[in-house]
Amino acid sequence: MRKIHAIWGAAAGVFVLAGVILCALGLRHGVLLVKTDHDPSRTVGEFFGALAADEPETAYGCLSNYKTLGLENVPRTEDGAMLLNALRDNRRCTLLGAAQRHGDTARQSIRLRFLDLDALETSILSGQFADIPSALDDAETLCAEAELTLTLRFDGESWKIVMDQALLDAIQGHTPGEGAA
Amino acid sequence: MNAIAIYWLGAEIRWSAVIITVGILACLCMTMALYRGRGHGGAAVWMLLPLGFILGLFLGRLLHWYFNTELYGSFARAFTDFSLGSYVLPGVVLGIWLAAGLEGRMGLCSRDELLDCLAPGLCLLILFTRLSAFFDNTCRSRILIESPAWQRLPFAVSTADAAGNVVWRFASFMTEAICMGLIFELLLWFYLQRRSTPREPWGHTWRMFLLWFAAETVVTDSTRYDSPLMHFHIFSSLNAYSSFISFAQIFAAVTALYVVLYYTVRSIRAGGMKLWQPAAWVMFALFLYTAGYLGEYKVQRTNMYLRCYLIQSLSCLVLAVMGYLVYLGWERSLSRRGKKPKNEVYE
Amino acid sequence: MKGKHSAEPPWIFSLCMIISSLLCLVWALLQLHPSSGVSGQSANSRSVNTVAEVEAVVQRLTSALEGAQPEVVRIHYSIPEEDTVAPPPLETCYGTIPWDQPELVLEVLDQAREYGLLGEDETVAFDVNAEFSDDRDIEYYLDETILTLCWKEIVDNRVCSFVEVKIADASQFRRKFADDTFGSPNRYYSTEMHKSTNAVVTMNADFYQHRDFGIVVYQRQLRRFPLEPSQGMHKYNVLENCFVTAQGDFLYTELGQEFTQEELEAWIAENDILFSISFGPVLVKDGQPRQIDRYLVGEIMGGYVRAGIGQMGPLHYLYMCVSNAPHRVADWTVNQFANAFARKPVQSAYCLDGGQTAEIVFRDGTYNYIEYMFNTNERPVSDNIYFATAIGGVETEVRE
Repeated sequence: MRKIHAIWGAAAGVFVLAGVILCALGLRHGVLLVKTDHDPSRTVGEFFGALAADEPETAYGCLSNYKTLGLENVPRTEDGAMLLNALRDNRRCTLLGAAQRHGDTARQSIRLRFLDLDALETSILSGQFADIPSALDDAETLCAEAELTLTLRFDGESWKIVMDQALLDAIQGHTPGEGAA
Repeated sequence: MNAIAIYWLGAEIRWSAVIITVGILACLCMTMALYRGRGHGGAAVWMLLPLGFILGLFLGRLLHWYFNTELYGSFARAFTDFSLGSYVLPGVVLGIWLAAGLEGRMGLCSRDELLDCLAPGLCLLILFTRLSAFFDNTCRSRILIESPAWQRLPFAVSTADAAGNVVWRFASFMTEAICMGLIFELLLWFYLQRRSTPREPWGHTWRMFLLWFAAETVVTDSTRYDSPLMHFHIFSSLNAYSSFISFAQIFAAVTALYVVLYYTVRSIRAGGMKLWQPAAWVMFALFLYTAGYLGEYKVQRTNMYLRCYLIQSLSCLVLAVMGYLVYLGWERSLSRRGKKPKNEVYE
Repeated sequence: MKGKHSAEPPWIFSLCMIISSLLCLVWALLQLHPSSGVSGQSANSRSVNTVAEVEAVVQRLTSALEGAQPEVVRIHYSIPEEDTVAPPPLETCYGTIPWDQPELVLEVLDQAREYGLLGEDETVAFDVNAEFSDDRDIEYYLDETILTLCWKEIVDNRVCSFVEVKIADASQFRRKFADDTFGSPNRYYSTEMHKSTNAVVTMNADFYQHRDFGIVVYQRQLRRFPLEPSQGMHKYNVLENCFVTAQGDFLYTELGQEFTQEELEAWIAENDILFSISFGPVLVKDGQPRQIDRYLVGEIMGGYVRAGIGQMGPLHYLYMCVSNAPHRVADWTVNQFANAFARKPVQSAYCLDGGQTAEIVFRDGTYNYIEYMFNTNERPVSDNIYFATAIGGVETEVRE
């Protein structure tokens, strides 16, 4: 009489091995599979669409690591309000290709056109423009473009943008990497 | 690391659930391998899974609710909202023990025989349950490892606090998984090597499991920062004396005492009182003193981890060896008297 | 020969059990993920103020173009209530003053007055003429939002550790629970919780998880209100409870004071209570020490390590702890502790959990001796209180 049933014993060995492999797999790869109808590019589109429509709360809902960008605050001065509107009106986002997904992380390349506040400030100080309103009349010449790669993370329900400094700089009107003046 | 393995159309399957499920399957197969190896059909084992699952999780959850009532908010929530909370492992073991007992009562099987076949598989289940702690924040240690030489598995595991600081803690769960792996091998050896001893009754492998699991639990549970500490809601004056010790440690001490008493008392009945039996009782009392006072009490008051856990580990090792020797002493007293055990004949 | 038990049940039984087993396994896959009941350590979501950035551009251009003096704008900092991590303290704001040169602290106090933290005539607890203990230098942290002074004095031949804190905003006085979750079974060392919150200074509180009576308010919610009777009263009023308002003021309930849960919740909302501490008793009231002859916790008639926190004025606090030290034993009763505390300029003071949990964490380590053998062996606890800098938090412009 056998003490250990061969087939069941082998099955136990297989499950032990599977358990160890799964542990290693989980530690190495994290999320294995994300099956969802939600597309990362849609989140990017929603985010910039909400910014363009002056719906900051909707835009914040697309971010994973920032609860506010302060866009809902009311500017104190008329010029400040004009600059804020100009930032919004001159912002254009173009998706470059489809999002690349790896587990619960995705990357989406975009080309972002934005009003460069540093260039505006320099142009006024150099005398090219007399003041902020006249500079904004020619805002097209003060716009810059940057190609950014956005990182998105799946939170169980939808993809959310992980705001990095480059994107934040561009939204605030600074060239990514140079920070605020 | 991300605790989620798979997002599937709104459902989340977590890594810890996957690992524990694989552990359950390994336990099932191992139990079946030994039970079918005895020539039985598999019905008793198939029944043990759902019955043991339900009773084990119920008791484990009940105990966790008892020691953490404020975490759940209500008793109903503890048993309806499984997104929070945990389970007390000794409670799970008790539930499985109860399930086997119920099956024995129903006449489906011999309870002790089933438990003996279950014991090695249960070690695998506990091993994988502990490994699943890689993917959640349970079973972490309060011991911080600051020396870079030790900041690696299997000694330490890194966690990040809310401010983003990386903290290395002693990997209690890893240590316990390794110990359960060793106990699995010992139990399998114990179960198989008993083939050469004719006419033994059942239940000894299960008792060895209880004893060695108890010895391992006393130390590893002490290192955890989330161990449920003894707390009485009635007779609350006892809390002043007991609240430094965990329920798992009390469970371990009680089960170890049960095993020691079982074999010493039976050996006295079989072969009369010998010197080794009271010596075993004295050794057990010494174990309580060294592991409880010199180990547990001192480590909580002084944080002299190395010294206290060394004392505690050594005393638990001595307990584990002593328990096995006590069993051998009982066996010997049987053979000397020529007594046959009551249970069924071994084939 | 098989073992003695019933014959194998029919195959249908096994099939049912196999199906049940599969259902259990599916349930385990979806629901069995022990997590210690906490959401894990989550960092805050960050915030920035784009409008402030834009206005800064406008301000610069206006100043440059019009040659005008820039408007004097003072920034008031605060920490959002929902944040579980404060802004990190600035390393350059820490300082150490030799224990035998306490007069140098006056320079720190002058700087604090320049920042507007201390009023010109505001009383401080630090006294240059006190007898200082030689086992630890005086330590401080000073930025525009917080002044923290730590020192040790000999009081009646006992070594007392003091922490005096003046903050600019009440949001800098905060409560920390393990895992930021009420009821979490986890316990951490105070030094760990100190680092995880970016605190400037952390002190012990009531160790709420160690007992099941008293009132617990956390994040404005009433979390514990036990109604069962104990010691002739209800469990919620067997202690004097301390409540901290959103303005940073202390309010107390009395021993045996009766109210319903609804009444308490209404009172919490009406008084803008953020959190509570439940140990006691109240040591000092209206500047006078109280003498207590009976109290449920703290073994008040015995000589032990004691800790307490008092309020000196608006946003001005003093923590005091008497600890064991070489050649000096901490053996005060609560009444003796109250008498010593009342000699400091506090309006009210409340007793916190003492013994091994009485602890001050400043910078990266403990400041006072922890109980047992004059060493720094901490005891893992469930909670503490801490003060943090607000620089790096929410900025509000205050025009002057």
